This record gives sequence, structure tokens and C-alpha cells, in this order.
Amino acid sequence: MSHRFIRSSRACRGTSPSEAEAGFGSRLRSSRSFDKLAASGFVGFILLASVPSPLLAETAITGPRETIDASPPTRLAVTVYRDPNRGPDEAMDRDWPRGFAMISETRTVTLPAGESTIRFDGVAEGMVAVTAIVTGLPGGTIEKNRNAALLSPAALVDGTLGNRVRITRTNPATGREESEQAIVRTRADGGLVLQTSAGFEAVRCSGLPERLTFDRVPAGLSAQPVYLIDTNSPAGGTYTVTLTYLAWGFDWQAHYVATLARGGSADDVTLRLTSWLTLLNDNGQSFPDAELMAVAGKLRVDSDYDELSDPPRGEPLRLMCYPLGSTAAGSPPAYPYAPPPAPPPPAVMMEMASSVSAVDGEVIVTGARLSRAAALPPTSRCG
Amino acid sequence: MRFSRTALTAGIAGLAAAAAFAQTAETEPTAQGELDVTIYTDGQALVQDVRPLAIAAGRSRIEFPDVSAQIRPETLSFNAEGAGIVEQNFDFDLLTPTKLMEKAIGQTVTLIRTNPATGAETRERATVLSTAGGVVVRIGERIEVLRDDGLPVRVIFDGVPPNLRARPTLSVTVESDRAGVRPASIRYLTAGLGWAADYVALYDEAKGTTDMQGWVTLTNQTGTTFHNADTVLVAGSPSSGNDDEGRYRRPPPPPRPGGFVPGTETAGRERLADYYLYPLPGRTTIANAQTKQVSFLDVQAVPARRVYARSVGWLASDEQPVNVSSAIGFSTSREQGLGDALPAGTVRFYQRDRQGTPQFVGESRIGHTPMGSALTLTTGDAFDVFVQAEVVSRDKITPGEWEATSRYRVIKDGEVVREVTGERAVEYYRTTMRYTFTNAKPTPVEVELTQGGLDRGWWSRDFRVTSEDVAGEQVNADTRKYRVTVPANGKREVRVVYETRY
Repeated sequence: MSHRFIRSSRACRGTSPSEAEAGFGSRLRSSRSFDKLAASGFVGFILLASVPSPLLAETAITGPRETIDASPPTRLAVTVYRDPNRGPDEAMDRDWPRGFAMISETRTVTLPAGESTIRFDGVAEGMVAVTAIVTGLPGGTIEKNRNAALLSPAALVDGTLGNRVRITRTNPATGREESEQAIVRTRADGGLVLQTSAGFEAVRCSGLPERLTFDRVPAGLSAQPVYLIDTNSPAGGTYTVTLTYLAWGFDWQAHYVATLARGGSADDVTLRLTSWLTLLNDNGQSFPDAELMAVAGKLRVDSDYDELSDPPRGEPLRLMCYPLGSTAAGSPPAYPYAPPPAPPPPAVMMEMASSVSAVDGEVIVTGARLSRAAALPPTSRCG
Repeated sequence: MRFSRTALTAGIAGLAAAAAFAQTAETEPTAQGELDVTIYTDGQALVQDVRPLAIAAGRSRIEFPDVSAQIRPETLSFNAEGAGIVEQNFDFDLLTPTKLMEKAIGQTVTLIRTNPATGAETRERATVLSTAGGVVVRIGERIEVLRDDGLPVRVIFDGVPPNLRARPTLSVTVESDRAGVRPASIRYLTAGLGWAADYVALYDEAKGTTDMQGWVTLTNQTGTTFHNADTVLVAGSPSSGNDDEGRYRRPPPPPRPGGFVPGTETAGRERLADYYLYPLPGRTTIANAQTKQVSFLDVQAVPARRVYARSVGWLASDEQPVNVSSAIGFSTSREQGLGDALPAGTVRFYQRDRQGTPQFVGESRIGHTPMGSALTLTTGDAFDVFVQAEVVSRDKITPGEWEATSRYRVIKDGEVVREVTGERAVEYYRTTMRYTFTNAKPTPVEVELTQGGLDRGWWSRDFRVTSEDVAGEQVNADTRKYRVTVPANGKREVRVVYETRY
């Protein structure tokens, strides 16, 4: 952890010289990623603009396109924006940060000639899909899709509706397994009914150990949020593409530690100022080795990013049965039973800076030394 | 089966992971036919579904599974050659174990008991008597509660009642004059399908231009996937005239930004009634819970400028300097390069940093904007530019003017006996305002300051500005605008003296 001491209180009042052209604010950039970002692949931004608008083009789309997986990100850039509605006196909400970040992922993709679908696996779960921009594709974008379907027990059942599964029952006395083919006849949200050769039967209501096995995963389901781009590549080949999007669930805050020291005379008081940039990431994804920036200044945000990002959730399988009362225990108190609470999200980790301190299982990164003393945002305290 | 018996014991989760590698791009089974979807910006859509169906002669019942789960059944129309609709039903009672048992009351089911000690199975037929808080069955001459002893009992139902379905299903009863397969079409309105525009604007401060891309964003929350639909987007919100506002939430109309001057040019898009149409190329599948984006606009180097603005109310005295708002102004006219009508949506501005990387600098909503409009969209607060408005002095001045407030005559016996004129002194106030501008940027900036609150009604319109450091422009009776250039890294004070009657 490196500190920076500024031996003058005048540093507070100075104009921030970092960025005047941004109009609304000044930028803080972590010094260790400065050089890397200069070579960032975002020059492709303008490239996309030169692609003819596909909506106007007469393209005939036939059949499903081949799905190509993009590589994991080879370069990541994260620009964190403060919660625009959080006042200067308010602390960050560790459990629910309401700021956002602009994330740039550089990936490589090998495209066949013609139309194909590129799959970006492992995008941030708080991705605001409508803000996504992809650059570097030779044939531009036909359409961009974000599917909010995760591979979960419920999605497995829903995707198999009307198709065959195998149900296996274990005899509790002999341990012998008996399995038979069945057709899924219900969706997953109200209990499961199968059709077998004998008739119709509810699953997990008989008291016998029962197990379902599926032939395959229904199309379009994955463990991580997935972003899809349909593109047209006239020649095919390997390309470096950059996916840029805003993601919800970030925040940052500047903290200043001032240490007063007396100089030679009574009036000569010097101030040592240490500044901290504290970043918060509430997403389930880490951003290792990311080039990090934080933007100071109040942006206007009209959209509800929380609602727009609406992270996809894996639905549990709610195996509800017909009421199972007995003459000894009476009737079940309420029916249908309340669904079990969703499992808590996994712990969050953001590997952007060198120092990490864990508080209550959540990780807050405090670090990212400022490159210049004068790049401190002038706050009301320094006024 | 692809998996061996040993693999089966690995459980669902393990198999799911193994099967992920064997995943193939297979289309979901669907009963949908040829789909045409027209989506409006207020979250409703018109769906036309043409399916080849075998219709029997006379009266028969036809089922349409895989219609939108949020269908408004009252808007349905049915069309098939030689057949007319008699009745329609939308079944949303979905099949669950509970419903299955409830519908089995009075019917016979098969029970299979497993002896936990020996593993032996015994089969019995039973009649379901009740399902209230527990299933009561009659087996032969005895009555039991199902699984009263907690021992394993499987219940096998002979069938499923026809009105319990796994998927939302529309059924229509039709009267047909002949039998045979022919295309039958249904057309209905549904909630849960909507679209909006999203714009990506890359602003170049040095050149004073912006590049602009437009994307239409479709969202499907109907619970149903629409397969291979021919999709048309309509920019406009037709009145739906229904009263089920509470059933689904409609997006609020986007607020008009302050700086909006409607244009007078016609865009080169297909128009229908008073709306613009945006057809999507080819057929597309709109999956449930999907957000889909398709490009519709792409223009470069539209002239744009940065606008700093603040508006001040009457007699406003700021305790602290206030950030001015930062906005970007541009025109959608053809000669400025944009030349298109902009459907309602959100404009997100990006600007390159010193390394050339575009960074997000703010967003603003726009309403439906005709071509040729002038837009000034606020992106945020300026970090470096402040204005402090203060009332320096306020004096009452008596200029010795009088105004008549009443005049009347008293007439007695047909003669005027008295003439009365009421008068009162006209009072004026002299208000000196001081606006202090500070600029921490290394370049001079121009700030548009708007003084509002000048129009207080008919009696107040006699006001004058006796001195002003910067020439102001009277926008209307209520507001006066000053364009003040603030030097780089500098400060400027502007004083204005108003003489008003309030």
C-alpha cells in the first residue's frame, strides 16, 4: 500500500488539471495502469460507425446461426462512477451500492464466413444490456441479445416441457433402482407432473426416493449471464473485439486523512494529506488486472439501471405436492407452502487493486494510489 | 439413452454439466405458426399467428397453444376460410399436482404402496373423496387419509383433465361449412412486449461534433417466446382504451428536455397513420425475458456544442455557489447531417479521454422527436463552473406616479350630484442582482443564465431592466436570458438592476 503525502494545504484549492475536456468533471486514474490503457483497443469505436445500418439493408436471415464462443477477456478496463444520487455526506452502502461502472472487455473471436452468433460468457451480472456496444467486428452487428435464462433446476424442467426424461426410484428396502421413461407435463413453478406409461404422477409426493435425469441441457441456458451478438463476417477469420457496457452495483468514494504537524513557529502548521479511493463492486464477477478509473462529477442518469440490469436469477425447483395432511398431525397450516428463500449471492471479489481488506465476508478494495497530488477532487471540505 | 446406468447415479447436477458439452442448437418445440408481431412503444403488441389447421365440418373446438401468456383475449379475432368463430376461451389454469388432485375428486386413481422392510409393492385402486388439507381416499369399503402413516405411496392418475394445461392455451369454438386443412389466423393484442430507442452519442468537444448510433431495444416479458416472427416497430403510443392499467406497468412518457424546439421536416421512413414504422430485417426470434437490440440509425459528425446553463428564480439568493448544468445541443435536421426522426428513448453521451478511450459522460431521455428539431440534452453538472446568484439590494422607490383605480358618478333624481375618482400611488421596487460566475477550466466558457419569475400576472408586466452588465435577451414575459462568457480559470461578476412592481 502506498501513501502519498502532500505537505501543503494549498493542494486542496488548486484547480484539477487532469481533464478539462470532459466538461463535467475530472478523472482519476490509477497510475499503474496508465500505460496499458493508452494502448486500449477502443479505437474501434468509430469503426462500427462506418458500417452500414443493417436495418436498412435487405438481408435474408435463414435458419439458426452458428454459435461461436468469444475467448475470456484478454484486457479489462473498468471506469467506476459514483452513485449520482448519493450526497457528499452519505456513506457508501456496502450491501447495495447504487453507482455504476463502464466495463470494457477485449476478447478474441474466430468467425466463420457468413452469419454467426458470438457468445460472450461471464459478463457482469449487473450488465445494463441496452448500453452494450461492440466494436471490432468486420461486418457489424445484426442484433444484440441478452438472455436472462440461467441453467437452474427450474430452467431444466421448463426447457424439457413436453420432452422425455428418465425417472429413477430407489426401493428403500432392497436398494434396487427402477427407472422408466416419462414426459414432463408441467412447468417448474407449481410442482412437477410426469406422464408415464401407467398414467400421470406427481414427482416427490410419494415418499420414495425419486430422481430425474435429463438427456441434455435445453438450448440457450448457461451458468453465467450470457450476451449474444449476431454478426455477419464476409470472409471469416480471427478478430479482436471490444464489448463495452455499463453495469450496475458499483460505487466509489474519496477519503482524506489529514495529519497536522507543527513547524518551526507557532503559526507554521503543515498538513499531511493522505487520500484514499475506495471502490465497491457488488457483482458476482471479478475483474482481474483491470485498468481502473474513477470519474468524479455528477452525471445525469435518467434510466433506472437497477431495473434495467435486473440480474438473471436461477430459479429453484419448487416441488409442491397435493396437501399431505394426516389424522395424527392434522392438515398443513397453509397451502401452497411458502417457497424457500433464494440462496444468498456468492461473496464478491474485485481484484483491481493491490490491497484487499475483508469485512463481514464482503470485500472492499481500498487502494489505487493517485498518480498526482493535484488530481484530488476538490471537495466541499477543502472548498 | 445416451448415459449409462452408472452415469445416472451421478445425479441431475452432474449430468447437466456433462450434457452442456453435448449441447446442440436445437429449436424449442412450439405450436406457433407464421408470426407477425407489431410492437408499440407503450408496452403492447399486436400478434398475428397463422397456423395450418384441420377444421372439421360443423361446430368444433380448435386449440392454439403457445399464445402470449399476457394475451388480452377480448381483442382476439379469428380468420379461416369458410369458418366463423362462435366462442373463445383462454385457459390459464395451469397443471400442478394440487390441481390434478383437486380435479380427481370423485375419480379413481391407482395407489402403489412400497413396504419399507421387504420392498414389496402392492397396487390398489382408490377413489379420491376430498383434498381439503389432506387427501381423503376410499379404497374398497374403507376410508383413509393418503400417506397417513408416512409410508411411501405413489399415486398414479389415469388422465389429465383437458382444461389443465402446461402452457397458456387459447381455444376457440368455430362453425365451419366444410372439413379440411387450411390456414387459420388469430390476431390479438398482448401486454409485456415493448420497445424503446437507445442512442449512443460520441461527442467530440474539440471538433464540435457528435457521432450518433440508434438502436431499437425490444423487451419481452410476456412469458412466451415468439419464434421466427416478422417484426415491425411502431413509434407512437396508440390509445388502448382499456382499464386494466393495474395489470401491467406501463413505462412513463419520457420527460421533454428543457431545450426542445420541435422540427418541421419529414423523415424518410414509412409512416402509418400518425406513427413512424421501423421494420426489422428478416425474421427474428424474440425469446422470453430477452432484451434484443437492432441498429436503425448511424450518422457521423453532426454539429454539436456544449451548453452550460442555469436558471434562477425571482429573488433567489444562493448561500453557496451552485454548479451549472452541462448539456449538449444538436439538431436533427437533414442539413446538419442527422436527418431522421428520433423515436423516444435514452441518449447516452460518450466522450474520449486523453488516451482516446470513450468514457460515459451522462444520459438524457428524449420523447418522440420529429426531424429538424433542436435538442439540448443535459448530461450532468459541470464540475468546474459555478454560479452564485445574490440579491445585493432591494429598495422601494416612489416615483410620484398615481394610477386611477376607480371612477364613478352618483346620480340623484336624474342629475349627477358627485363624481368620484379613486387613486393610489404606484410603487416600484429596485432590485440589484449580482451573479458571480467562476470557471476552473483552462478554456473560457459561455454560460446561459436564465432569470425567471418576472411575470407575476397582468398587473406586473410593467417592469424594466435599468442596467445590465451583459445585454440580456427577453425570451418571453417571464424569463430573461444572459449569455455570459467566463474567462479561463477566472471569475466574473454580472450585475443587473430590475425595476419591478413586485
